[in-house]
Amino acid sequence: MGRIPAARTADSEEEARVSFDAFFDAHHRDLARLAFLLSGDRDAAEDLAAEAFTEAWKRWDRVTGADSPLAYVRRIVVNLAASRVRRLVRERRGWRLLGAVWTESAVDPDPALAADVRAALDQLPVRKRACVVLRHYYGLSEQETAATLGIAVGTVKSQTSRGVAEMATLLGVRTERGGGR
Amino acid sequence: MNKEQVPRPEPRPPGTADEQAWLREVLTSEAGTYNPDTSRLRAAVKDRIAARPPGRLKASAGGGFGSRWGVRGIRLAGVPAGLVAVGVCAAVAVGLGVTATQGSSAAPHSPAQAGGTVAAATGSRGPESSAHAAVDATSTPLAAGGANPTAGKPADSPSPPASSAAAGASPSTTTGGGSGVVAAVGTQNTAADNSVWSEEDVAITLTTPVTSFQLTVKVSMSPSVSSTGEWTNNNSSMFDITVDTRADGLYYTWQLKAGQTLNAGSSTFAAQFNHGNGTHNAALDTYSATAVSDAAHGSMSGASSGAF
Repeated sequence: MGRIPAARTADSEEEARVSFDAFFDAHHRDLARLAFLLSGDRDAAEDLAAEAFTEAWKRWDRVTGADSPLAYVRRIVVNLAASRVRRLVRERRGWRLLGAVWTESAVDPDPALAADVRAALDQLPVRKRACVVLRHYYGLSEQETAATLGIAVGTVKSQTSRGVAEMATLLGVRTERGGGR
Repeated sequence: MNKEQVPRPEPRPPGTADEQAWLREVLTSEAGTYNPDTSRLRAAVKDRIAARPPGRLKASAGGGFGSRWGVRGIRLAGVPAGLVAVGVCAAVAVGLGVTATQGSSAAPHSPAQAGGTVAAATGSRGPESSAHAAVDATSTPLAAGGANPTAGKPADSPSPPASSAAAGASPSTTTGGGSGVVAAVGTQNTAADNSVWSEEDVAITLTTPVTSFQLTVKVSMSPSVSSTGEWTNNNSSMFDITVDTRADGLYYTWQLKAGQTLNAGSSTFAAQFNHGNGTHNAALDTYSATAVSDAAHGSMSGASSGAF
């Protein structure tokens, strides 16, 4: 009452834009890398990250109102990635049966290891993969991971421990070769 | 899933102490191989934002941003109809009712007289059997941006916009007078659901700040139903949150604490529960929200309810 909605709107719009830009600058790399770890694919990662930021902007008031805006947007990334992976699973399953390898055009510092890690991650169902990545790459707590994924803490625990065990198994031999780093 | 492709080592228990540090290092190394092109990414985001309904920035008070969820909380009617597909998806959904009353008067106003804000609620259901359709439909509105990999986060899963109701694409009823204070849209979180666990989300849109708010989600009871918690992207300390197990269901309640104000905008509340083996039938699960706007907005009350 008594306030001029148009003016207030313009102000908050500008504010929102500024804070969104700042958020992008601060977190786009982190979030794009999350998308990369979850999708295993550079093009997809960029696509997912762009989409996640777009989605974040669409409800920017909610993002900024969240306890942790970063956690909120991570959640968007995870869900976009999960959706994409689920959609691709059928095709990839086909490739695997043919013994096809993951195609990767860019040059990796350690191509063999990178390919192994990617292949191993790719073996994990998406939720398990997300648990492993969020817990062990981002160092999120079980509670934070649960909140990010929208699943129960107990599920995070079980999915993570199984995921870690599977990663260890999948990478075991090559890791020995690599001296365990 | 075919795992033969990756050579299997002999079973060998990983060194547990080392394990996590090692895994972290591997993941960090893997992530480090990817350096996103900042300017290209920025441009992509801008393009996609620009690809949204034109004029959105100017129309910021209304459906501009809001699009799917009526995010900025106002003018839920007349939103872009890109979501007709979602609305159709929601059409398999369920009955719901919305009422909005002004002051203490309980007389609903006719939609026609709604000069400004309108409350709408749509119950939508994405049973697992139609999960694909739900996901595809959700993707549609974003396809314009070039990317298809879309599924809202749980909080934002396939909620049809209230506008689709206005467009007549969904069976939801929209009533409410000049001021629908609260709109609730319930969805099953098909992205996270599995055969033993489910999450049901209610997206709440408030058109004004409210000083009184209560949302109840009822999950119908079956022998194996038990709560595994609840979630909201609001500051949960603003609410008294209870989960009551009663004979006919789990009742999740978020009650805004006295003295607290919940701002206009959208937010999500989630009820999470185990349901034993097999799909939970959400047809009997319902939600109901009530709210009263703050004094500066006339202390108007509104209510919105539906089924998942």
